[in-house]
Amino acid sequence: MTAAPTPVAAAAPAAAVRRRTPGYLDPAPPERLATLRILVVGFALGYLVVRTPHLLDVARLADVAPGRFAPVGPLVLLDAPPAPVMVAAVLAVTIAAAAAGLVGWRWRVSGPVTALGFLLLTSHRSSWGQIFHTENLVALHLLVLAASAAADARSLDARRRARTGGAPPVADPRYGWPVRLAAVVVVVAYVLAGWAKLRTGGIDWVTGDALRNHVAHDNLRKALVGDVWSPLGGWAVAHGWVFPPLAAASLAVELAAPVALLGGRWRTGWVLAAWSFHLGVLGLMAILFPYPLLGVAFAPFFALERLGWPPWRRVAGARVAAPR
Amino acid sequence: MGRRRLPWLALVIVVVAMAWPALRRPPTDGYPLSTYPMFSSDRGPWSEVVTVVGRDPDGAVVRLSPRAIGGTDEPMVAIRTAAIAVGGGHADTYCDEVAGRLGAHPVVVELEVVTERHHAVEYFTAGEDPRERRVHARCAAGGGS
Repeated sequence: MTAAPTPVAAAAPAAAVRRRTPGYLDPAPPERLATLRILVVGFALGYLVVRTPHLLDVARLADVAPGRFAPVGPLVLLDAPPAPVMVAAVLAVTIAAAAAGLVGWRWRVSGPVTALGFLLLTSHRSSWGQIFHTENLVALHLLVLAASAAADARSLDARRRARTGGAPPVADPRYGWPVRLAAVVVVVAYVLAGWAKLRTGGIDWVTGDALRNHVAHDNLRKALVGDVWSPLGGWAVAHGWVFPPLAAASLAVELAAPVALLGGRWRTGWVLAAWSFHLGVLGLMAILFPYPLLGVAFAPFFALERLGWPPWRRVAGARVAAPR
Repeated sequence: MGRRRLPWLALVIVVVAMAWPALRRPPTDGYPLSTYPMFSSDRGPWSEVVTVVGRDPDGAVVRLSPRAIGGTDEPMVAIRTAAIAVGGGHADTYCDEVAGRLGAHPVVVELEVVTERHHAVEYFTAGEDPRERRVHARCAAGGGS
């Protein structure tokens, strides 16, 4: 007869697991990946719905200024801009697929269609002479999720499987590594942004007027085309001493992104710093990065299963190798 | 492929693909794989911006909207649209295009496609008048030149 483990004995290894840096192939509960699906696809769906008028405006450029089409991403295969009705159709299909993906219905189809549609639409938006960098992480996260078992829990697919007698999924590496991969995507993007500043400007980017000039230039351009610009940024450029510390902090946040993979206080500290960085960009330049500001970009760093489902109910348990 | 190899392969592919634009010579920005060049170069304090402005009956400058200038609500698209039109020698037709988008306006009677040169910092500290101004085209507001 085997003695049942005492609560103390059982708690010790669990605490040890939680204390160490989460491993890439650690098993994770299916709820972690599923919650990431809900957050990322929910963001993409909200983005597409809110930005529908803008995306249709961009589509109409094919009629009024086809010569300005400078395709990026998968659209480089096109010689001419797609017809507005084609863009509208892709938009409608992608919104429908994202709604299905959000509730986890037929994820093997709705996931890839959402990812591909979002990639095509945002590539099209950046194919008119100005590449935007606000949707890169969403597009990449959707691609990672589309290739994963992100609807094995908290989904209509999971309900259907349960009704037909399927066994409930248990913690497994396949529910963990896609989330960790999404976290790596975030880290690489921030490091590349920091590296670009060092490569182009060197340490002068911190000590010189580069950031001040950018804040002034960006607000000026917006003012000259009648757009919203930041009065705070306009005020700040009059005080040059503000910018070297801000530049140093920005660069440190970007280059230090890998520490977020350590978990625990390192992760939380970096996420708070990165979020503050984007808040500063919004305040000084009126540039909105909604994905990180809403926290969705940083979701892969956390034990998302603890959020519970529905969101107003916290879930007990399901704490296998949770990132601290 | 083994269950353990696939995740590592995916990790390597993603990291290499994301780093690839920055490793190219010269680094090439794209989407969704980017060098993330935002704000990385020191562009200096001088800004030369091509835009379209309105004139009221007294000749005062009226700033338009990104939608009127570029056809969308994105300011950067507006600026690029104006720059491409002037660079391509199409300022006149572009002026009419903007007038068509603007339609009837309560104040604006004339449009100008202009390049304005500003000291970006002094714009906010010393005054908004451009240091230089070149007019590429003029047209009547409301649709025709």
